[in-house]
Amino acid sequence: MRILTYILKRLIYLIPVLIGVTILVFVISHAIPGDPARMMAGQKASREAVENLRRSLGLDRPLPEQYVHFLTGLFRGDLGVSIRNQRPVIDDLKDFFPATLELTLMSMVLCIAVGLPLGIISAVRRNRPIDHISRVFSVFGVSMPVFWLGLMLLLLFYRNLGWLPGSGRLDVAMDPPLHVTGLYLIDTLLEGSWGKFGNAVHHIILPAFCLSYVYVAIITRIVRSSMISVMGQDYITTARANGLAESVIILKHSLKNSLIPTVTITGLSIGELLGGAILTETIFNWPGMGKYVVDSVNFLDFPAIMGFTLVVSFTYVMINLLVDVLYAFLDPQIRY
Amino acid sequence: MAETLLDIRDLSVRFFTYQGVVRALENVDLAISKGEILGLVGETGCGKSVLARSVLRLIADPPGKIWGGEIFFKGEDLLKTSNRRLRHVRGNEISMIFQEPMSSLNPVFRVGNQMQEVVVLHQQVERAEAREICIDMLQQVKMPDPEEVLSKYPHELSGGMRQRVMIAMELSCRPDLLIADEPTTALDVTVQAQVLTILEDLTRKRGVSVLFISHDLGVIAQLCDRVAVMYAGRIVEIAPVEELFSIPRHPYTRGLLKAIPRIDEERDTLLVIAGMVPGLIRPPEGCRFHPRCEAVTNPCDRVVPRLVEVVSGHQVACHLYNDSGEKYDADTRH
Amino acid sequence: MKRIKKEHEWQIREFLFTLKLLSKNPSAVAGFVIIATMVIIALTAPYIAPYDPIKISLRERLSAPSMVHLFGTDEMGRDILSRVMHGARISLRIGVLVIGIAGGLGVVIGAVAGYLGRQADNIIMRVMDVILSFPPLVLAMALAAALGPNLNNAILAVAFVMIPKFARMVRGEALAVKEKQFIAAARASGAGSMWIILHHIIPNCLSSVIILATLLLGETILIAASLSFIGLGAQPPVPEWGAMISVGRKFLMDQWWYPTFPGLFILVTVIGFNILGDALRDILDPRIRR
Repeated sequence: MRILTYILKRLIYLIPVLIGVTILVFVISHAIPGDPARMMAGQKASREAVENLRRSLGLDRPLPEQYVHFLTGLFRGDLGVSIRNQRPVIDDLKDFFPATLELTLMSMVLCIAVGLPLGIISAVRRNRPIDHISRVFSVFGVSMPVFWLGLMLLLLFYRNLGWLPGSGRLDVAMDPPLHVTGLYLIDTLLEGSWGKFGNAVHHIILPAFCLSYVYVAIITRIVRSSMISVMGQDYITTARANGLAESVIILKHSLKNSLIPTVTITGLSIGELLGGAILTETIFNWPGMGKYVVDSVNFLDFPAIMGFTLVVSFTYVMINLLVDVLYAFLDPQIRY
Repeated sequence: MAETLLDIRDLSVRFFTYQGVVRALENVDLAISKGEILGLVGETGCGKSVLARSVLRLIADPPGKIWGGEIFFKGEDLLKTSNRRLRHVRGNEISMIFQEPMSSLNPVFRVGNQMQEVVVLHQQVERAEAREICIDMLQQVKMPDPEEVLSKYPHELSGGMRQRVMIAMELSCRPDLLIADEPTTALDVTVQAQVLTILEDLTRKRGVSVLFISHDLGVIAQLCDRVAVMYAGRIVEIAPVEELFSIPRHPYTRGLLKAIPRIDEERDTLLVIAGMVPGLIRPPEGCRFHPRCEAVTNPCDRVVPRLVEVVSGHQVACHLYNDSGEKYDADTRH
Repeated sequence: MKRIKKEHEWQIREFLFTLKLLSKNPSAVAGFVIIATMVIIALTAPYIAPYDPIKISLRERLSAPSMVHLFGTDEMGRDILSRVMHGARISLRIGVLVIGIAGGLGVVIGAVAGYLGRQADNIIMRVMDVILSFPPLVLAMALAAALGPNLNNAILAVAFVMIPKFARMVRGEALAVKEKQFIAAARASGAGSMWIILHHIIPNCLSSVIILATLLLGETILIAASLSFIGLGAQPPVPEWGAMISVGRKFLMDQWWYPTFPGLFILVTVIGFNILGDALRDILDPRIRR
């Protein structure tokens, strides 16, 4: 039962943080210079129209009241209306969310599939060639400007080698599959369109690689360092003294202990992937929330920008909560 | 004379560190017979743990390297056997328990899981049967409610209980030799007594030989049949326990025993051995104890004394005794 | 007075010992060389850049790298090498300003929170947690957008995002240090909280702060370049690396050199800070120091 108390405690701690997030976004959106009502109404609207708009938006009321209005709007799912296309921001985000989700999930899969084994091998064969290579790779990873990497990848694989497409989720000529999940990789399979599936895979390879590159490096580093630290522990010597095979010692005894810091960092990385998606989606013309917000920035569409920021940070906070819960499952010393 | 079980010959171990080469063990000779409890005593840093770990080849390489010698067990040299054979020996024919019960068990797996894993590995039985064996072993180490214990995580048990779990785990596969590296040093005195009793009972009952390592002379006196004294990486004296304590021959051993306060003596200050334990990167030439020795004499600073038999079963490595084991008189020296 | 002098002596010796260890560590030396090179380029750019970075020469527009223009020219015929060199000035200036502001504020906030403990600590750290609940680029983007797209606002935005990172670390250290004996001794001799924080707590966190600052300098340059890339930091024609890539992106296919070289410089500079920071972290780890 202590796990439930633990989860509850985390949840309770979360609430002021979430409220703080809404306050911060509210404050930022009110730091905007210029007149939001005028901006929404457009330059040509009459002063009267602007005033009406201001009243209807409640922009003439005192700040605390505006905040409450803002908060209650959030509960209803109202994130404001985009200046660019006059649609509710929440609808826009819903439309673009699946593409970002698909990209983020693929990147996560890559991160774990590459980062985990690389980190383990690096730790076990410490200071041997493979370790040095992976450490160099790690440094490049965390120092890499994602948008530049994307451009270089396009240069190599799209322009020079012609192996992979340079933008979008599918070839322009193709229609998207029937919408079930919004994830093309799944929807094409459900539909049985093998050609489209292959096409979707082709399109997601470069953006997923680009997005995940930084985090593969981070995860490799954390896996390596926690494995090294774990393998120096007494209980590993005990296992070895008992005659257990090296593979069992690494994969059973060491790994589970190393997973604790690894899961934490991986969870944090998911949140940051959401940030990096902004750049990757822009480079590869991937129609997700990231590209949406960059377009909004160019247009100075503040409701869209703030809506995106709010959604992303809420997601980040929730993911951290999940990570904490997972942590409790991995480390029995917290549970009992 | 009982059969020799473990025969360590001329063992040397070195550690290669930033500061230099640490000569942790130098030409160590030691033998353990079937069914005997051999104590290994010495100060911190004298190499006892290194010796213990060398037997099962647990020395971390880097920075350590077994520099020479042989360790014969059941007719084969453990230092040269294959990894596969070594893994068969570990935990099965030779077991080891360590000093820190707090950290010797994996914190993320239940006790039962860890114990059963070893049994399944070496006894080739099903998990269910392994479980029964573990419960039986836990009963042997006088654990209350063994079934409960199996389902617990290590941090839910006290230090003494954890050490008893370790003993149970290491004896579960019926090894011929148990190496106990300061198993009670980290425990409270009362718990210590308990654990020692259990250890002695079980090993005697099963005829398990024990290499018992400690810096606590009192515990050694209580438990062991024979005792070896180590100083700065070398064995300096080996004798049956009673004889060691009543007629210590090496100056170091005498200093150690004199330093123990006695109830039947009146003293104002404790006797100490002057000087400090030498660093092992550039140990003293010749006999490593010579800078602190009260009886230091001519060859001590140049020639390394070898172990010679003085009286049956009693060996000393000291220039006060010549090669036949006769002690030099004050007159016959020089 | 003498006691204070002795303490400074010891600190100087520790510092020299650190330098000695650093000089033996290949990554540290490599990182230092990279950063030093960038700093030199940044400082001397106005004197040694082959061309004026904003001089337009439409005749030579979009020419490939050659002996005349080592990195080629952009769409206005400006020499990219010179622009990249001037970009180093901008990026390093951004880095120093951001870390200076964020570090200064963050360290004080963290030290106060850690030292005062309980309520003050709770409140301050909750606020820091709120800021840390945003992916850094996202928050910087929102702030920069709200404040207005120019370089100074970008600097403020990134600094804001970096403050909690310093605060959190220093707070942790302050919590540990404040339990030590010499703090109690200082308090007993009548020292006030602010004085203790300034003279005892913060100096003890110094090595960790330096490591964090080095590593965050790299991250700052990346975030700032990203902001410019999106259009929120430096605006063209300022030769900031991210802004250059943003414009150069259009020309990627046929004039590969345009976005490639500025990005290369970002990569190398950040690598420099990261490996130096890592080496510092390894060296200042008390277990390795003897």
